[in-house]
Amino acid sequence: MNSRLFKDADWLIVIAVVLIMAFGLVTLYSIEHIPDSGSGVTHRSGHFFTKQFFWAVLGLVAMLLAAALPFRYYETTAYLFYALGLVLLGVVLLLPPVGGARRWIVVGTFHIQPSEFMKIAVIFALARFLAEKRSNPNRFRVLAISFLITAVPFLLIVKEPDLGTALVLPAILITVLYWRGLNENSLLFLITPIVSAFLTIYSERALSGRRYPYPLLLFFLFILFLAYRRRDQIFRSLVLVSINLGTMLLVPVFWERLKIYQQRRILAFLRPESDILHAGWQVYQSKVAIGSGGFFGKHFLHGTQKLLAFLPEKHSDFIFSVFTEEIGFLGALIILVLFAVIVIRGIYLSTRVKNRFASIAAIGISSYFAFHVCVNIGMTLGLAPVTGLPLPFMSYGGSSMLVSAFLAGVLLNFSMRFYEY
Amino acid sequence: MELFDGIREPNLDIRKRKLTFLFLLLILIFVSRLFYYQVIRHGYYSKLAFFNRIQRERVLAPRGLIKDRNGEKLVGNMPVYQIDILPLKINNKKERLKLACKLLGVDGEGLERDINEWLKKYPDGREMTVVQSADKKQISVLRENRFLFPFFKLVMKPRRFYPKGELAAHVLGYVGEVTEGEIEREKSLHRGDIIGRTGVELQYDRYLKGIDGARVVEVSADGNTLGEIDVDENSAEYGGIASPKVPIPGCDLILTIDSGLQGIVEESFDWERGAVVAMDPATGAVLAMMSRPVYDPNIFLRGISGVEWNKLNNDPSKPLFDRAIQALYPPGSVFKLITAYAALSDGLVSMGQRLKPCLGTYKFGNRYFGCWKENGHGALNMHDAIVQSCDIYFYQLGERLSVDQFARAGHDFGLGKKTGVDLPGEARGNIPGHRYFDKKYGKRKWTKGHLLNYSIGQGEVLVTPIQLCSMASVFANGGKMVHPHVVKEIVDANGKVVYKAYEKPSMIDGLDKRSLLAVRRAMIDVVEGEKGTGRAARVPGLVVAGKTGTAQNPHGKDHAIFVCFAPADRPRIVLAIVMENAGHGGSAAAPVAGRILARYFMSLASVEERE
Repeated sequence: MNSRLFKDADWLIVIAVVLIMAFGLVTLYSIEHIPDSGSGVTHRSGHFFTKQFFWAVLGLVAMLLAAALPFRYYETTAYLFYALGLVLLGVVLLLPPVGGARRWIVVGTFHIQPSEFMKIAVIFALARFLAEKRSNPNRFRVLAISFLITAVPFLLIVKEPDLGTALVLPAILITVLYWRGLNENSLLFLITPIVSAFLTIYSERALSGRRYPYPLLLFFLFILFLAYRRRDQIFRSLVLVSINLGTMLLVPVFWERLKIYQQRRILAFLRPESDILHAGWQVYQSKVAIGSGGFFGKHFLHGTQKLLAFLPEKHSDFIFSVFTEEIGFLGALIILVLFAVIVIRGIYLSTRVKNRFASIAAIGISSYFAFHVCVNIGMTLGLAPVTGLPLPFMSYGGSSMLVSAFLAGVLLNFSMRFYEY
Repeated sequence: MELFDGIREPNLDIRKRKLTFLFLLLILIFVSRLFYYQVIRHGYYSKLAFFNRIQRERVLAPRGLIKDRNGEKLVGNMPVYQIDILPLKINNKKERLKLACKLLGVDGEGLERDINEWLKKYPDGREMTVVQSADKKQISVLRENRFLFPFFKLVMKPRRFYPKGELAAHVLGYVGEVTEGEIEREKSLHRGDIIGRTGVELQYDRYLKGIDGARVVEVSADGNTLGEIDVDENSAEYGGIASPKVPIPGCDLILTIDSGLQGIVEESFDWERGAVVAMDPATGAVLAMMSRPVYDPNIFLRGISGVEWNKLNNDPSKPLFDRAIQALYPPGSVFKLITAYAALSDGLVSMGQRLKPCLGTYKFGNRYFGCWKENGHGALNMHDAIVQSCDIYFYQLGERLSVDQFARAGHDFGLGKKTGVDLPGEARGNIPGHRYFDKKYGKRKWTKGHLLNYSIGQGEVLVTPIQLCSMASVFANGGKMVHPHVVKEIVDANGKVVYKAYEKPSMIDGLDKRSLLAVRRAMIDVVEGEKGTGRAARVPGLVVAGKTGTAQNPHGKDHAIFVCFAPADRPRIVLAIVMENAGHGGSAAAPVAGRILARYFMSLASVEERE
């Protein structure tokens, strides 16, 4: 690696990644540190910590490798790896289920999650396709192919079932399309019906609960406002209003045809408090952990919520709650700042690089991190559905660690070779 | 910027700013949310977290003690360690469970079967008791391997302990853990509560129970108790919800039982089945009460298994049955006291009047009724008839008396109704009036013939030993009805007397004292007279009055019955003895009375000498 590359590398990203990894390891250490006030003996299993340490080291190696290879290789092999990813997703669906879902390929003691690696493949495939000169996303053909590239893995992952992981892909798609020049009107046509559908279900009566129609009403007023503002393009405005209205009217028809347990599952996803015994319980306990942490936290190793069985996913999905309970509001701010560094440096890179593939990939990677961080932390605060989406670099898990580190490495790569066309 | 040189080049700088703005907006929402939870609502969530990890645990109030009249402890408490299993925690630790069973000396396969049954019954996986009373070795095995066997739980349980073993077992009764059904019916009960099942444990359960306290403990992830925490400062902060509460122990019972006399009674009673009741005729205080066969109440301390319990419960000799208050016997000749009193007080016969001579049999209608003495007694007056217990004499009284005259006299002496002794499950007995006979045989379908048997206490007449004892008390105290009781007073944990037994006997309405005293005089000669049937109860230096009875029993040998009181001039004790299938009252039961009285008055004399 020559000295210029070394100098141009975005060291802020490296520092942020290493710090977040360290915080994650520290939290895992604390989770496994169980004081026993009865006998005065502290006993710990160290199982998660040791494994995660190994994954973190491997992750740093992956990051270096991702940074070292010329990024042109990623562009040329993008479709190949995309195809390979689809094959793996297919294989997963053929394997016997593990713990009720077909998400993992089990090799020895390792659970490999192809859907995690698929995220890389989709980012590169979209970037390569949209980097073509003719790929104007405002043209139907380009839009359709981009959708197809995302939809196939999306549906395969939904089938596992792993809706949370699958939702990352449309989020990436919309961001890269926007970046590539999708005009904002089309964007509205894309996004507003999705929001309408979610809000319609959200306002549906839970089996025992009340209706929550207010967010939906507010959103509809917002649509009317947009339509009014663009009243010069009367046709588009009418279409916008009518597709949203149509969604709001049609979704309940489909909703009624779902089985009760299916309704319940979707509601629990969207509104955890409607399922207080399972997902809602975790969110409640997570809030208790975070809230009881206070400004300075309960100090390292002194969390109390982590001792309880109330946070079953405390080492993976809810690691942020455990961290925040012990390190407090200050710690949470530090974590948010570190993630913001990665995302904003990624966005910054996407205009700095001279290469189109790199630009689109950088924005895709930024949206990957942004989506994961927002959904995971939003979940612990009761602002987002309980999806099982990990917090990059912190949550326990090898696949997520390797993929996140690799993508951070790709960002580094772009920063070192920003001048390449 | 010329990155995308297609048609309608997007303004990337604007788009970059919009994306950054959107992302930062989300982060800002998170920060404000975090601030809200962690700074503004911190106190609220701290409280929730605090209650998450603490639990209020019930602290059982110690059950009250039971002491005899001299303060000697008859029932105490003893801590016992019980081993419970938490079936849902076994999961994949089957191998460890096998090892644990081996170390504990528990049948592993049997346990696994029991657990499966238990889980079918209680799918919530509540704890199941494996060993009711762990020995030292079992306790140390579990204490040393807490982490190896997380599915086992050692629970300290207070158990009832009977320092004197079988002594007065039926009076004391036993306790048991509440059943699921009882908890459902009675909201104030909790699982693991101990309640009285029989005897004074049941009768005075309300007093013995005490009020449970609470302690505050920290719990771990799997619900295991980590230890008691000091919540004094927290209790102020959280409105005292988490404050511990000291349990209030139950009240102690002071019985009227004299364990010395009780011991004498139990040793002197050399028969397998029967009952003895000893009472103070002045107060109705039960001094001793015994039922045979008996059980060892300390088997409940060890923890009684279902098999053992069934064996005890289904034993044909019914050891759990308190014969002193629950068993019904025909009184036999003891009832002649009532017949004599009824005839005298109604003026049907005078004391000196001799009736038709006894020739061994008596013809009534075309039926022959026999006397126990086949050669006959000759012509007797009332006094001699009682002393010699002549059946023929009393048949003649039976001929003269109406059924309701019998019944009234019986009821006056407390027969045919509950004595009201403070023990659960007392039987009523049967002193039939004309209504009873009408119902049983049909109106006017019964004759005087039935009353001949009535007059000598056979047939339909049924009494309990305690009724015999309170009836004899009336003769002993000169016509006062006693209120039999076994609890003298109840003392709370601070030594305050919260209950005192009513000990004043009441004069019986319309009692003919002259007739009563005449019968009473004859009772002295039953024991002390030359021809008395109860001579075997004589005690040198003591004047004893009594009456023998031999109750015919259609199922086997006669029951031997004897009632007596002593000293005759100023009685201090009344005894009623029933020995099932032991033969004649005079030869089987009277000697037992003699032995009891001899030893009792000997011990009284030595106590008085010392004082």
